[in-house]
Amino acid sequence: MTALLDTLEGTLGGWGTTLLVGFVALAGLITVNAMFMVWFERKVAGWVQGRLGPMEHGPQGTLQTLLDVVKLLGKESIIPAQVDRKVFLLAPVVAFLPALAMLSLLPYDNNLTMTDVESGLLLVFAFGGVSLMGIFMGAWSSNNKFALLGGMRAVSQNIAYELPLLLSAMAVVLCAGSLNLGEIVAAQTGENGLWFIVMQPVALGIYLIAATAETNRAPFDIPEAESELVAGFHTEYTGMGFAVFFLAEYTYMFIVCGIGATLFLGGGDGPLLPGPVWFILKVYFLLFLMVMARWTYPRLRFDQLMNLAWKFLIPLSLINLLATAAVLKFVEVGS
Amino acid sequence: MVDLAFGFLIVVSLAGAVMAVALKKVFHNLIGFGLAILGSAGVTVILGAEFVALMQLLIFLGGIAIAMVFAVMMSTPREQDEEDRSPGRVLGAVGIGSGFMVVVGFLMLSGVFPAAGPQDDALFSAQHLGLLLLSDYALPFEAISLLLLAAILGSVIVARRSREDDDLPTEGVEGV
Amino acid sequence: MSQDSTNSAVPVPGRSVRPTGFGGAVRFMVRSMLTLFVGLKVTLKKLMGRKVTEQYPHEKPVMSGAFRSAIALVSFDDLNGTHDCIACDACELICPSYCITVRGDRLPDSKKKRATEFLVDFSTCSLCGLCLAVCPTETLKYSSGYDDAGYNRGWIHNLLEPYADDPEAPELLALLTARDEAKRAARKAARAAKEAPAAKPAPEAETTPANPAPEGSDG
Repeated sequence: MTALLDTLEGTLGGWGTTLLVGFVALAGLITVNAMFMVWFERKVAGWVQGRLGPMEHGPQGTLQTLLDVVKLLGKESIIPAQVDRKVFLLAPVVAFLPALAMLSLLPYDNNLTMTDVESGLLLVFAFGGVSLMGIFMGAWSSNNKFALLGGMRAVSQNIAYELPLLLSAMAVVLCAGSLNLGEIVAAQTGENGLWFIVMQPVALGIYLIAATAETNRAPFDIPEAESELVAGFHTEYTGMGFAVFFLAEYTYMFIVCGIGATLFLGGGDGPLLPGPVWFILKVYFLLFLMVMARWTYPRLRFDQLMNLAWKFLIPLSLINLLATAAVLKFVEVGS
Repeated sequence: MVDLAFGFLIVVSLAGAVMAVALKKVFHNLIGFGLAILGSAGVTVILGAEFVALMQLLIFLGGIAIAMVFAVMMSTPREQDEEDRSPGRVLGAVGIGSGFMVVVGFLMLSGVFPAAGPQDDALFSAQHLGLLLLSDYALPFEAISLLLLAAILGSVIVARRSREDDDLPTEGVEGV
Repeated sequence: MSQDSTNSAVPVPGRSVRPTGFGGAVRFMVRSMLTLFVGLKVTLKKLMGRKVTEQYPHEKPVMSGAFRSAIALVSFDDLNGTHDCIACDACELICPSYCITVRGDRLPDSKKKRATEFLVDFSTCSLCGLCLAVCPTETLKYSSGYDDAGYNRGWIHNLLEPYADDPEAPELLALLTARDEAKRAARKAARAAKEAPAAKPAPEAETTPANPAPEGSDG
């Protein structure tokens, strides 16, 4: 392994090696995560409803998703006649590509991050806007009423929930004193480090709600509300295009939970086990919460969704931010 | 390598800019706009101003481009052919655009830019920028805040009035 | 989550009325948020709880004795486990949907008739039970099979299929004769008991050996 890395470094240089190894690792992470999450989600859905979930292929049905993927790849990709061809084909790619960049920013361990950016936290949220464009491109180019309505809802929902998401993250940034994800983790570890879930429980709550809404997950899944909009923005997508949107959704879930684990749960901090394992465990704990929320709460109506964001979450996160700033100032003055 | 990336990003943003003005469908223009923003954000990163690039992505792509999406909703349906642009308008736009370019070019040529020092991350850090905004540039910062406040209040008033106009019950229908 | 669209102050039973004032609003908010955890508790309990799914092809449910499915022939112990269809055609004649076809023949060197073909088109059967009621030898029953499936309409079940390796004709004849004799003897004994002064009634067991209880095997 080391020999291989040395050869790589000889030919590509240090930066190229990081890029190559990182992208291979991330591609693996994306696929494995999506396959695991689909299985896990179906399993939890079954268990919550007193069923067993997938059982047929592999122990406890673990190979079910693999077979689903094979089936999906074999499906015919239908491009409807009246769509805007170029935009239609580009949309899934635009929706998915930012995920790769965002994943490369996550701190999987103290020093295990592919690109260490000074304001990594903001960059993650900035790329979110790009993927939103992808969703809307798909919605608009489909030339379908349901898709367009779904796209509209996705856009307005994302605008509304980006604010509380950022504001709750900002409260943590104030505590950590940095926008760098690695430094935020570092602020929670060490001698008298405390996970920010202790100092910022309100921010964690806001963050989880807003993150669920940002990823268009139930109970905020009105952009693809099956009962009203067929499948929302990806109504017209089949085969691979659909698969890429699907993959993007699960990757974004991983990303928001990864950020959540970094901000509130101390990233790779934990006893006994190595850092990356702790990080993955925390991420999947948050993902489990998201899945549970999906099978527990009914979907919000659109006006309820907007009211929740604008009238409740944003004021609350502003108050939280102000209170955090005030407390920090007092502590600073006091000491 | 860096020169190559720089050139590529310039080409991308120029192509995006051309798309943004030349194409006929408004959503295609919007995609071009997004592309131009992405390209120029990349250029900014190469120039070392990471934070500025971030803000460009966050505000222009995440905010303004997405807000424009709402305008796309009101535009002509896709299946209809667009009208040709009137030559007068095209000329006017070209005039305004080139005028702006001349002014900016003049400023760029006449102004003195301090040579970029050795990579100083602290200069572009969020902390440094924040301190600057609240000390040296406090007035412009406050002015912008005031402008935004006015805009928010204005939109609230507009929204309220249109709500009162139609006879939909506004009380009693409440969520959360 | 109050949806009090009438705006009346009268509390609706089972609904929380949204309180007024700032303190009330905050309390309402907190209470609403707590309800989220109530829901989560329910699903978590379910998550840990017992699963009710039956893994059908791998584990098959046991049907209750009262379950009625396609008709089948009863196997009798005293006939070496074979059926007792005498091809009397009673079931074929009474069947309201004409789904039974019975053919029979006499056993060699005997007057006893025996089914050679018992065909049922179960797709038209309405499970009315008339054939069971009319069967003189009580050799028809409801089976407990629930997963019969055919590839086309008019799929014919041959009820004699499980009895392919019946005893040879002479042996069978001997069994049937033996049973008839046992029956006759029982009847005679019963009559004798009846004609005798009714001091003590005949024991139950002597009057009933005509037909032993049907064995519970599927057709």
